Amino acid sequence: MLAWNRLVWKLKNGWRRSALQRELEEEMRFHVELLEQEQGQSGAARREFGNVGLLMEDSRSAWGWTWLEALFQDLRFAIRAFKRDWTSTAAAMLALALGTGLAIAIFTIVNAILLRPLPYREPDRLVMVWAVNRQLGWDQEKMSAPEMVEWERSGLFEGVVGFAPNMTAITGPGEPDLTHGYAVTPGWLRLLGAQPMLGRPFTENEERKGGDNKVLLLRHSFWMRRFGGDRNVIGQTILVQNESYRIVGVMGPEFQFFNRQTDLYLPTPFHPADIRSRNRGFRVIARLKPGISLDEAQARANTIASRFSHDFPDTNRGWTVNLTPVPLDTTGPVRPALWMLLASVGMVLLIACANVMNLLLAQGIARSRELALRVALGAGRARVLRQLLTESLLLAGASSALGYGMAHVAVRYFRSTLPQQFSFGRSLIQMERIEIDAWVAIFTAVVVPLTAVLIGLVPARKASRPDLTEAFRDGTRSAGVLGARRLQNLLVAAEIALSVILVIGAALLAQSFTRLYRQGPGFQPAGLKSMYISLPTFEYQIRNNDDWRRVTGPLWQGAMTTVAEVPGIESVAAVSHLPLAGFYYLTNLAIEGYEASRDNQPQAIDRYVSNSYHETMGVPLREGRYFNAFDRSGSLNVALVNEQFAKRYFPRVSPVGRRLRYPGNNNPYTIIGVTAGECAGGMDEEPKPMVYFSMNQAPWTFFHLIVKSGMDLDTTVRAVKQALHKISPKIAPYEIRSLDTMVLDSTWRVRYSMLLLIALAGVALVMAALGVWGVLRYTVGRRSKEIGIRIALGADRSSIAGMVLREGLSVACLGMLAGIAGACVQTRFLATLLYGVRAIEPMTFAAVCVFLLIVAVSACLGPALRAAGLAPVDALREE
Amino acid sequence: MRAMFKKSASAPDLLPGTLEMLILRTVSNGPEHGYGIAATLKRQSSEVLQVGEGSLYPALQRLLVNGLVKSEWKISGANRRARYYSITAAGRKQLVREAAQFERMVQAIRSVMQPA
Repeated sequence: MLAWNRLVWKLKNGWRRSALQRELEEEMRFHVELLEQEQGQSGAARREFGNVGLLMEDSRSAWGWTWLEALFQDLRFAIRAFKRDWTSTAAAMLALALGTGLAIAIFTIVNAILLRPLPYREPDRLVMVWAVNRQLGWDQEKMSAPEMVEWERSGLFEGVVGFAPNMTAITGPGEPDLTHGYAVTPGWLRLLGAQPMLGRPFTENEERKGGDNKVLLLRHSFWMRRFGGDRNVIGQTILVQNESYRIVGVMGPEFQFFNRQTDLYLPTPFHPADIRSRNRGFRVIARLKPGISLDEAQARANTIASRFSHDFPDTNRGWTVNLTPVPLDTTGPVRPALWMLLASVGMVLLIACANVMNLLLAQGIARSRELALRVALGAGRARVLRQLLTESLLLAGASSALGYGMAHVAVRYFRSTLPQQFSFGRSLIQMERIEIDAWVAIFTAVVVPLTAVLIGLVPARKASRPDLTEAFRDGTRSAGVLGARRLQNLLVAAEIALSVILVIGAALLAQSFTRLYRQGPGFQPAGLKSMYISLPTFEYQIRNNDDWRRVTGPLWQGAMTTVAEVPGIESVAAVSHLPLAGFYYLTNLAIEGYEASRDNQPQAIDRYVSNSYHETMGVPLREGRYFNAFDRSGSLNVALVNEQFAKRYFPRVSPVGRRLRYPGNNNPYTIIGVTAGECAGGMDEEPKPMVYFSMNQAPWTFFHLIVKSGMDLDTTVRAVKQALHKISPKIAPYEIRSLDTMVLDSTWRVRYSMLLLIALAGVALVMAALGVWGVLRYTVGRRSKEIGIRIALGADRSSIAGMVLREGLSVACLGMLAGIAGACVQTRFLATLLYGVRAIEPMTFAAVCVFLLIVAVSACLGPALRAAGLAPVDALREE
Repeated sequence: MRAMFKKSASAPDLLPGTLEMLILRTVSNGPEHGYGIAATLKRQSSEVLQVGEGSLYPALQRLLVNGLVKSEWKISGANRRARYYSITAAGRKQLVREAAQFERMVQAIRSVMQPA
């Protein structure tokens, strides 16, 4: 009851302090007057009245919340202390803001990629079943249908699902659209343990062979894009290649599966049990049976794989299997980089804390007088400690707020630089939903007070226990100050060491990136644009192979010719799969006259290209000739191979003139030339053996159309679209890209690591420079008397400057040596990202050291000049 | 150091809290200003209880904050402004409670000090 009254009173009157005080004073005056009346006009009345000030204080203590008032008082003192030395405070705030901001941003990224769980049930039990052939260089290959069936029977898994890309042309209602879909074998969603947000999964009837297969599940982003988030879309039918498909469900926004660009999922029209061919067509995902560990499953899978290679030597010799847990599968390649990032963040935060600790230490030295005075006047040690900790908390809080803002901006920028081309950055699949979420907030809320305590503790402990006599004495020779100086110098050296490590890392990555980019993808991307086209064969009646050939030939030719005639288009080409995209089919081939030895079954990527392809793309020719106008349907079947193929299968002879064919097929192709290698995957991989067939001889109806033009992307696409609509209004270009951007995007791994490390290194460098500057400043300040004496005694000003410089540089050099040692260690983490540079490049190391020396010298310059410019009289007077 | 200034030279040590009780009793008879309260206490206790201002005013502030008395500025007899304190309903209740407690305390002490 009383407490309630107190609260109410305080709320009502707490803000009327000055008025309350005046009232109290008036009351006192009245009382004193009455006393004087009673006892006569002597000083006795006043004396009897006692200590007015104390009375006021006691009364005042009833008016408010003492702890709150003490806190405000602490804060006011803190702000005053900071204002007194605002340059140092600003420097510390900058350092801390940069540090925490970067930490928050990077933690957000790492959280999105590494820590957030996948939207499946027990995702660790899900594995990708990859086919691997180390010798030939395939390590994430698809399985053939019969293999998939064998895996199902193996007893290792409680479910096995295969999926294959299925380009789906939506022809109505509305705008025609070409979408990327996945055809999935039965039991897909059940295996994943995911549920659609709207509607329902496929039923058994819809999944089984011969059942009602024409159903679709939409991905959330596609549903938003095409249907505007209309909830009535369930049960609607849309036309796919002029056939009716029913939409049965929509997945939620957090759902993703395997890659970034798939728009919809449908039951596979081809059931693995029916497929005899051992060509690798399905990616396989499976769920381990409960109770089987990953290692056990891998061991047993290895046995099964070796049985395959024994039973089917033609297709399986040399092939093993790799079970990769799904969470690792997407993020595996970037994990080491991310861990290194986290470590760097830790380091940068430590640097920031070290900087601020230096500042507070230096301030502690300067304030030891003030604090000693406080203790002498009766402030408890706890009170002083509280004051100092309040200061550090205030600093940490303000800086972190600033840093949080910076992080927000940084994350938004980062999200906008995601590779535009969907085929890259499968590992970044989680990054589309990157946001500053609860975990990050918790991280921040934990990190901030931690840093505050860290930076505040040591100086506070030192300062709150000042040896009173020492502090009042001239501080320059006292042991306490010297000890603090050593700590300071150590801290600065540590900062410099960490900067060295980060800068070297960034430099190495920058070199890698430049080399990679200059290496090139094997073709000339300038001016090239591509789009995926699907020819509307469903508009024609096709009953047999003859019809097919009769329709597709002219259709394809017509499309190519129409586009070539568009003004502004310099050349046109077509290709079944783009280089660099990482999508390719691996086929077995039989090479005439080639003794297929046990370990060297001819396998290559087969690519269908228009005759104009190599010239349009600028792929150099090594031997023989390109495809030309004479290679058309009906003439000799021709093929081109790349030099990697030639080196592997025709090591000492020229492949030109030799023939190859698909196994089991009697159609031989004559090799007419050898081209340079194009990268099917990333530019840092050696190009794989490739065989090109002429699309003029065997037209494809789904292909990438490549045009070379001087116009910008949108204009080019519009012009092409217009031209194609003359053939059929149902043609919709998809996956429009400029090959320049595609080449840049393909370097995303190195590029992102480089950008992030540059950011980190930049921040670390700024902070190290601030550290050196701050420490020297205080040293000069502390030693100003000594310097003044020296100058008065005739010391040369340049020697004074030199003295300061030497001190600064000795610390810097110590730090650099430690940093170089550390840089040699960091190589382990960088190894996967480096390209064309060794992890320990002497030139790079040397250049970085020189750069850091320059930075250190410039940081020392200010205080050195100040020291040299001291007027002895002022210095001696300064106390 | 602070302790030295706390006690006013004149007043004997009171049990903590009794000063507030005494003040409440005094103003329960009618509004009084600070000087008047001290004077009344001195008079009624035959000059035994001499309350210093250093204790009186802080106690009055505490009573105000706790809502046990309320204050009003009035023109006093000497044509000056003075602050008059009067008891509130809550104050009356508290007074009864504290008086009873005080009685109990005194009885307890008495029974211990009783000659055998």
